[in-house]
Amino acid sequence: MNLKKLLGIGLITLCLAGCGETPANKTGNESNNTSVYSLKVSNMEIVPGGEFSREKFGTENAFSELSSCAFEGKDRVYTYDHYEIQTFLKDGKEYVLSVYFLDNTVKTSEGLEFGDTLDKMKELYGNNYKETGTMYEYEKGNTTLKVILQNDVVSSIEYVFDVDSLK
Amino acid sequence: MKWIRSLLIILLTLIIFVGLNRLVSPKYGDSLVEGSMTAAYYEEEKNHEIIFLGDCEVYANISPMVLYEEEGITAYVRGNSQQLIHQSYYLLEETLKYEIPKIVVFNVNSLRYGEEEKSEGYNRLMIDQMKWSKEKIDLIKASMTKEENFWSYVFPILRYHSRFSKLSEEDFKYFFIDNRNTFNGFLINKEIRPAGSLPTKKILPTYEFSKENMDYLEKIYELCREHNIKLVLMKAPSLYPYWYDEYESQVVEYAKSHDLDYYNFTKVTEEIGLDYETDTYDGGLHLNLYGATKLSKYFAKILKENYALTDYRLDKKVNEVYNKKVLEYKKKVEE
Repeated sequence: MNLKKLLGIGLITLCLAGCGETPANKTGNESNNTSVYSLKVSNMEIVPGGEFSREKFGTENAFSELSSCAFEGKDRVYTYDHYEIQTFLKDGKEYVLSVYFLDNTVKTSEGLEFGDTLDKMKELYGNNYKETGTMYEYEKGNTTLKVILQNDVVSSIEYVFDVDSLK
Repeated sequence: MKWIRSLLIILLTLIIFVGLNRLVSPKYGDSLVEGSMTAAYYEEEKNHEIIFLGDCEVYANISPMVLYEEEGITAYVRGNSQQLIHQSYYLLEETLKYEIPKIVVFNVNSLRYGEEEKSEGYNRLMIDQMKWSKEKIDLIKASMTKEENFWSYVFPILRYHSRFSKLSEEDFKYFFIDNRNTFNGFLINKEIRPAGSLPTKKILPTYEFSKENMDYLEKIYELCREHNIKLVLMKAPSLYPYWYDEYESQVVEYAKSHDLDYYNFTKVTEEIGLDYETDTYDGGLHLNLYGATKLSKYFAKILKENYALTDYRLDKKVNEVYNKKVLEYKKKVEE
């Protein structure tokens, strides 16, 4: 094989290196999906990764839109009476990124609330968690329940959707 | 004769290969201009008495042109979007190959960041146009996410080959010449978006800066010490993300133990004259041109009063260069 052909093949190979199929676009999570965490509140189910709309979740008390350092797109945060929903945009639609509890009038679907003990949390969710300092993370599908304890009681509860799972 | 022919073929192939790499690489000329910040430094006269290091809190909030106009201070902002502390360290290492400033001012915001803030997108903005050096190699290795590949930084075509079908006018316009969008590292933003409501201040699993970050801060400190450079710490004014009291006390403690000056501008916004109705372009996260001008004037005075800096307005050669810069700056401000 002569040098020209060899170099030509080399160039083409290098150019095509890493080419692969574009990952298929996945849609967000749906409600009644038992393989992910969700929050049931006031006859409504909030699913991390599920679609968000004001029609569905009501008008918020406060709204913040925060831009990133350089890239397009803004984080949107909707503050309600007892929880705060952060959303992300994908293909022009808005989805729930996280749900952060603001007080102890809300409980998780499994019954966990502010002020509960570590033992109560383990009773409800088991021992299959990832522990980082005082934070305990439980994963279910592409959602994570993050629980932080302060002075040995639950003081922070947040559902988070794994955005990377959409890639 | 055969070997000459072979050599020419190899040369031609190399030129085509290099050309293709250049063609598909993002130019950061008119769009995503933050990607051209690292490289803009190389074209500068290396006579800065102050180097600022940090993330967007520095390049949006500190205007070296104002520092010069106010007090004749020559300064450069070596900052990039979401510049992590290890990146600040390697960028400083690189900078010190070109010049030794009197002062390095480090914005402490990045001490809060962890692995989750590592992002290929931001890495590319900072690293793509950086000159190849040992510092660049170290920086890439320290910055890469798990999904990234070192060789895609060496041969951008490995990463950007899909841009062949998305090439735009910008790719050809800036194929040979880069566009520069900053003034000594400061990026002008004249938009006004008043501060409004902000998300709830969340409880964090930990408020302690990571050991890795503190090690890098120590490395920055040592690097400055070795070169007889005064290290100064600052926290730019910002309403969000929240600068927790626990963060503040760690920085205060570090500054105290290392005998460093630390200026937390979030505590003196009134003194600076900041108005979050008019002085921010994103609801209080960063200052716009008007806010940055106020902060820079305020800081210029502090720098002049406390550190033995040269008033380069009295240096004919430097003043000539800076007068031209300031003129261009004012033209851009008035656009």
